[in-house]
Amino acid sequence: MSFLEIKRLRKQFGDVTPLRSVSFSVEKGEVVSIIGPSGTGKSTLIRCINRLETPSSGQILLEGKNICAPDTDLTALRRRVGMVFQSFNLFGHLTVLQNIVMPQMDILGRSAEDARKEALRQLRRVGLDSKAGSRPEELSGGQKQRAAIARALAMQPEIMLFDEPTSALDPTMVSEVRNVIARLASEEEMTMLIVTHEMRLARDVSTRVLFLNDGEIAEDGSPEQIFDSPLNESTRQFVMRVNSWQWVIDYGRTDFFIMMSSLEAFCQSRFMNRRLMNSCEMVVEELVSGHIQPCLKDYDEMRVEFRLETIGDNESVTLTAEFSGVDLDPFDEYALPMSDAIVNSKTRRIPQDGEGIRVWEIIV
Amino acid sequence: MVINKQRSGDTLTIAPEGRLDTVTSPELEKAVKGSLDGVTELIFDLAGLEYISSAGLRVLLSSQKIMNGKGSMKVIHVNEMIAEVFEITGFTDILTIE
Repeated sequence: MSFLEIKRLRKQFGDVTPLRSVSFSVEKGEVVSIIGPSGTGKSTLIRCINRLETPSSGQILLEGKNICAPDTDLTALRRRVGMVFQSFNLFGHLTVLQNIVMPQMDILGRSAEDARKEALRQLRRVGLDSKAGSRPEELSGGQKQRAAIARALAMQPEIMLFDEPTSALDPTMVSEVRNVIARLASEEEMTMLIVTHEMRLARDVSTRVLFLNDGEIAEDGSPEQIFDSPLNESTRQFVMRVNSWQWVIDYGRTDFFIMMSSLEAFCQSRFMNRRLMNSCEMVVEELVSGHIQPCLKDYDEMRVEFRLETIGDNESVTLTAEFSGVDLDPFDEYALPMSDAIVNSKTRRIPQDGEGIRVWEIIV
Repeated sequence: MVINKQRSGDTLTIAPEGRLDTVTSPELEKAVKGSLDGVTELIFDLAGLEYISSAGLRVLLSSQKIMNGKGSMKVIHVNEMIAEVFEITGFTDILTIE
């Protein structure tokens, strides 16, 4: 018998069916991440597991007991199943410590003193004991989420559910929350189910990754399988899309500010260091300003599609440019010397067989 | 980008902070050209500069050309990343870098 078993789970809201038929099981100590495009029912799935949503059909068995049964004691269930939300859900009028003490007294019936001790213990665990007396508004986003994790842990749950724990955070604060979750996974062997858009969290922390697409599990495998050699075509396309930045440039679309902001946001989302990020930005900027723009003055039909892809932990970063609408190579024929020198020093060209395509590896 | 300017006699110090790229370089160019009256020594203090592309290099180059005719120009506090771009593009031979 698995610790958590989900059988043919379906959830329908009116005409919309975010979950069509989902089945999988989780063993004690496993850390399972659920990834997939927006609107494919990831959050609905996790919300069914602590019964914030009631499934339309199917079963959820926790140690063999169906928690979808009408007589399920929801308070008892939520004592066993901890939940961390995207938006923290801390009470603004209470201190951090009070936010963690109160549910222990209300739901577990702990004494004020025991609850306080436990709250401080959990705050130490997430590195936030110095903020016990602060109000949530005085904390950064990352600290708020760590406080919310401490609050869930203080209830001593048997499984923790994380619903997009890093997606409301500024990119600079994602790593502190990821580190706390990673520590829970590796040192404490906590059973966890994590819905996330953040691929590094899924890759670094999980023992297993589920790819949810169109309300069903399209692929269930190790992080290595899902991210490096997915078996399912929809997984492959999704992973490629989230690991790459794409941008089209043609006569009407050469707004540098928007392009560079978009590229910078992608580099940050991939946790590139300053040096690698600078190289990526420079190469793209010089290719556009020193090659493509001069060429567009003569050939306004030209269209160039850029794709910057990263592999693993940015071990390899490649830039592909596919160009059309012109019968010459803009990168050869229209190279301003300064731009060309910068591009050549920051890249290694990867030869391609076909025409209309250039691939560079970014070097730092 | 923030452009700090400080005039002391015939010496003008310009300290751009942030990114000097295709988007921001025209601003710097305008700021330089509008303030060179009576200046015989132009100093670019790049301590706060995080990024420079060829567009930014062109502003330095055109400033150098103007100053060649009326005095001198130097570039100071060049960090490692900016120095690398100067090196790649041969600017270390064109500019006076301290």
